[in-house]
Amino acid sequence: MVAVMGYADRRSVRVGEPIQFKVSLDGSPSYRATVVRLLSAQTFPQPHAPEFRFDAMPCPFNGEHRGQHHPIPAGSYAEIPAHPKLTRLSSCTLAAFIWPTTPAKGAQAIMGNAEGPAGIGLVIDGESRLALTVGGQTYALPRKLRPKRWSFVAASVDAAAGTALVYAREVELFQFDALGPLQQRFDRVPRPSPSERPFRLGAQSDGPKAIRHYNGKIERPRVLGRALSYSDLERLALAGPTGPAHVDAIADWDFSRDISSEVVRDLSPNALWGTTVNLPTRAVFGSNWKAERHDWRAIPEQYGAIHFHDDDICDCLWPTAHELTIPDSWKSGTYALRLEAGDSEFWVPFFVRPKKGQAKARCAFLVPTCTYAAYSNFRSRVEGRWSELYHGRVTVLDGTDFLMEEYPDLGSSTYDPHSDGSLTLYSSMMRPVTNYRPTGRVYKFCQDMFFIAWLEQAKIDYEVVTDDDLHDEGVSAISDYACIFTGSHPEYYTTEMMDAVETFLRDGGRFMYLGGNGFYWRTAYHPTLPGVVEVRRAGQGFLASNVEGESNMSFTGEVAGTWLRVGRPPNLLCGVGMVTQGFDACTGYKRSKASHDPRAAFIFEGVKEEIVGDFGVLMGGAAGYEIDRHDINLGSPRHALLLASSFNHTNVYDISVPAFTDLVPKANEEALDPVRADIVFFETQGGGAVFSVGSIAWSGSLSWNNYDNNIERITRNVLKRFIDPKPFQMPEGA
Amino acid sequence: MRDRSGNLTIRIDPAWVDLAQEFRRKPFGGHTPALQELLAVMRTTPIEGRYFLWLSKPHSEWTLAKMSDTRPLKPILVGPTFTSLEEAEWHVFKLRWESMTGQKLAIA
Repeated sequence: MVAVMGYADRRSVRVGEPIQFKVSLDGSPSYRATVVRLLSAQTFPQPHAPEFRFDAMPCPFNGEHRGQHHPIPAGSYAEIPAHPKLTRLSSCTLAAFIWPTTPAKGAQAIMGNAEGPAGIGLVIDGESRLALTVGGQTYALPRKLRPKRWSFVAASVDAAAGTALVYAREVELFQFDALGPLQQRFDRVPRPSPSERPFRLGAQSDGPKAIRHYNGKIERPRVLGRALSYSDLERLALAGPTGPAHVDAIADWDFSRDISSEVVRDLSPNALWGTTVNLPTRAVFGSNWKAERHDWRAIPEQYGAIHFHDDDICDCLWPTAHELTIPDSWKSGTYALRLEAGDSEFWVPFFVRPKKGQAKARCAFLVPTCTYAAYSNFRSRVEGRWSELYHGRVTVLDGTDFLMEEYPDLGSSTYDPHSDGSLTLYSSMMRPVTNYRPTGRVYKFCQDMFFIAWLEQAKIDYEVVTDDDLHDEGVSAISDYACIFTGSHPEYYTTEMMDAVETFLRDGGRFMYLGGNGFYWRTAYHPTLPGVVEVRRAGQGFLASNVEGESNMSFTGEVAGTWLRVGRPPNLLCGVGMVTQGFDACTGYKRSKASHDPRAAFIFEGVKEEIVGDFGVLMGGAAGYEIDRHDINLGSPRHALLLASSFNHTNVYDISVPAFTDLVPKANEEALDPVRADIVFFETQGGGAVFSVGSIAWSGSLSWNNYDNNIERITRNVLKRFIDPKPFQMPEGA
Repeated sequence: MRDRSGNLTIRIDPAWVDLAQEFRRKPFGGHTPALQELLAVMRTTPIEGRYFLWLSKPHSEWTLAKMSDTRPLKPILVGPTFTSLEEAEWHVFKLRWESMTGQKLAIA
């Protein structure tokens, strides 16, 4: 099979800055690379959808290139560089608390530097048993480790006597059936021979590669400089994972330190610090967690574990195939590297911003790259059991979607389980992303290109800013613009992004929220790694929820969950909040009396219809997919005008109705608020204003009837007024 | 009701031809609760071996396909090819009806 794939080192690049592209190729000697400016996406056939358009840009590397395969180095572990204290172990003890999730999945390395006959390791053998590996031999306990049970495990080697002791004891706090201590002595055990390999926690070396990845948690792994006895090990097991370094410690790694980072700290005097690779999950509770508090910052000693996965992937680390410095002549906008080889095609989109301080447009498209990252390689759409049900139709897939099956190491999105069943909490753009492209399912990036097509067709002078920029630069990323407008689904928002938009509005900025289910999940970007986000679905009754008790972000420490759950509902920012979803059919909005209020006159100028948006290329209407509504109880401003509400949504939308926060018993069906999307407008103190449409499908109606329709008219009316510097006035009494 | 594997435990009765007719008239959206329940059964079978549509021409041509019975999933193109999503949806409905009731649907 021919497959070309790629990714870039960034999503957003300014004119004059470089961007690097990484490419891997299988099944063909060469591929074609073309840098293009995207003017629309491949969506639906004409007449009502925009034609797929892109312009090839002059670029020195456009053309045919020899390619080669690069591996995707999936699987997380922690690595301590080779150090004489570890490479020349003699009599010693390896010990840790572990919570294996898949002990029956084959050989897995817990810790060590074993490779072939060299070094030493504490492992799970191919039969679920704890084992010592030394001198190329394996010495296993005659008992299987049980999945998702905390155990203290250890192996000690007496090099002078040629003996070893392997030990395990379950140390569960809340279980009634913990397995007691078990030890096994072995004679004629070879002395550990030197190993120049790094010492790894959660994987084993095979040359520079990591193999035998371990699934599960490891807590307080230690290397002690003598062969501990059974009673010594009993004392260690019962002492728990806290406390100062052991007097014999060669290394004593405490994962409760530096939780937000990739650092693995050694408490021993040798300071054998290491780093994590491929972002194993941190801020997970350990064997001593008492279910009293959920904030790891308050009780880090109960969050001293790291959860490793054999399918974690942060950065493919492929070499740079092409580097491009954005020429001064390029306009701000949406671009992509298009890769082609045989029937295989892969797109690597990126966004070009003007040079710092040289923004010229009055408005900017705020590209929801944080949401793209959270959804990157959305495996459940291919593999998930429920996708067809809540989409209300047979799933449509193409060859790019199946790359996730051909190359399972491409990893998952924050919607998907890891191979051991635990939920994926981190998602990275530093790998090929199969659902970040202008083709395939019309959703997120592909759908957001409806806005680009509209802006280009209407010849509106605009620039682009991404979530990555907003998070990094705060309000200064958008303060050059009078108006910013969102994509169709800006669902994932960091605190920094929320604060920036709010500050922009307080400073008189204008904000068009042209999507649905926005500002929904609190999200965190990794403090140092670009394009990596964290989502924890804490306290949530639907979708995959993460483990209760692991509900604070590891990257920031913040309490996780929806913005509603954490106490800052999206209604405060944009006047509406998510209600439900359904992807089978969309509908229109019926205008309210408030839409005739003089404050809203500019919005409906030239719009005679009382029903708007009852058309569109996305299932027939502007209101649908994921929808939001106005709710004063959840913080929608009291002076906000509720201009229109959608109606007649199908009962597929009922599947998510538990999202209602004010659901009442169905004693009187007619008294229930129907499922609806709301269009809302309000002014802010400081002369700014907000316009929200509460529906993902809005953008799919812009191009209807060759862009001559009331949704396009409303959108253009609002944009025209929002880039007008004349301040908005708060209404009297507000 | 679902069993512990997530399978809906209600069974499809071949006498529910009225629901098939309703689906034939309108495959997308706005179904009666009874049809929605039936579709919930059809649409939540294990993903292995499940029907899906292979996008054979962008947004204009779809080929009936099945997931392989084992993971990693592979697409198995079984045909036919459709130029209408409604027709494709109806075709899959009929196949599932036959598989779940043991009887062919006597509706074109």
